[in-house]
Amino acid sequence: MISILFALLSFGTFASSALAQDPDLQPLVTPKKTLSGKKVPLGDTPDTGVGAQEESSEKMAVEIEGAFPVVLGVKAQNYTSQLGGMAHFYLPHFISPFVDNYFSAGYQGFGLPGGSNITVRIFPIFANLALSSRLSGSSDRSMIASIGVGVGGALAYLDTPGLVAPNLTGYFATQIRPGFEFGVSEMVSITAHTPVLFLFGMNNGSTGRASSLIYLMPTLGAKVYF
Amino acid sequence: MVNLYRVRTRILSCALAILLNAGTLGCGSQNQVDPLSLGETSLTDMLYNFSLNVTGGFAGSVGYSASHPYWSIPTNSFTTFVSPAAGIVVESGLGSRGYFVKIQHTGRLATRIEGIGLPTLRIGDSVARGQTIGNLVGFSGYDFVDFYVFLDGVSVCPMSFVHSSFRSTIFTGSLQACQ
Repeated sequence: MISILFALLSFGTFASSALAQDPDLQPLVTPKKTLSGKKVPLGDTPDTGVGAQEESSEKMAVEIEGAFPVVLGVKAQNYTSQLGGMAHFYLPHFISPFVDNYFSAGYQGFGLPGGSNITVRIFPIFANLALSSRLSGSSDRSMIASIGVGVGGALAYLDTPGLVAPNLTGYFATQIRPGFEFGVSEMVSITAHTPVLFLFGMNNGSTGRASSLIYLMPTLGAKVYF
Repeated sequence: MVNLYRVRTRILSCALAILLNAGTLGCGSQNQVDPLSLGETSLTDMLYNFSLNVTGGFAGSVGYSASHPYWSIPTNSFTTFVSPAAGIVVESGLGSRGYFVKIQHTGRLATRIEGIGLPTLRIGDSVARGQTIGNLVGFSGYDFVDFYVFLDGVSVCPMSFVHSSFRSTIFTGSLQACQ
């Protein structure tokens, strides 16, 4: 009985590979597409290990997220959270098929306790690298985990009623960006991340201390490949 | 209403200045403004830290109470008023007692001085502790300047924030400074 089952399994494997390689039978086998939209050559299986995008090195993507930043640490008492957003622009891989490279830009705002109309407006910009790994699912319904690191800068100013022109201050900025991507279709994914952003200045302000800010920013967004 | 053209021009010029100088750089004001400095100072740091440059004491002043949630300080005691602590100017205008300036010291703490002459500071300017913010002048018959302290937007008694070197000058006789 076992030998019969083994034989059937072997025959099935052979048959599928034979079908895949026989040019006369090619139209009967539908090529699979990966999450990134590129067709996988017949006879190959979609990638399942680290670097889920290695077959889509020429693909680009745009990701738009809504964010709700929350200041961390003792400084949290000085700020209230407001909705913000981030946009990410993924470029074709140039370092490795296993490493995503993308640029980020966005906006976060923080109010002050007490219901005042004062808002600290922050505009960060990053250049990022990320590692990703497909966790489960077929090529079209995959869940991808990723973790990225970004470096860049941020502009910020204090917005208050009556302000004619903003006094912009620049900061150095870094971020650590872990998250997940859930494939909805061949070209569209839903993303969720929990980046932590670090802003720090070099000059001592009126307080005599160099300014810094650390905040967690849960995000939810959509990613489109093209 | 923020002028969008000026905002765009300012962003581009500031971005270029930051790239060239590689570091924190304030743009656009004669007084460098660091908006994140509001989060650098804790409320605890502000306790007993205010500078009140009162030369003649608070004689004749009206103290803080629930029905009078601020200090009224006579103008004949001194000629200038200074910022009690470092901060950023967030409001400025003409009130019932004269011109006023509101300074945000931390995310939670702010002070307002009303009854001064035309201030030289603009909204968005940063000030240092002890920096002159205006000259005291009589206005419409009033000869007091009103000093408010706001914690989370609510007016509180300033006494807890006044530095010890100035507390002895506060008149605490029959008129309590805080009630």
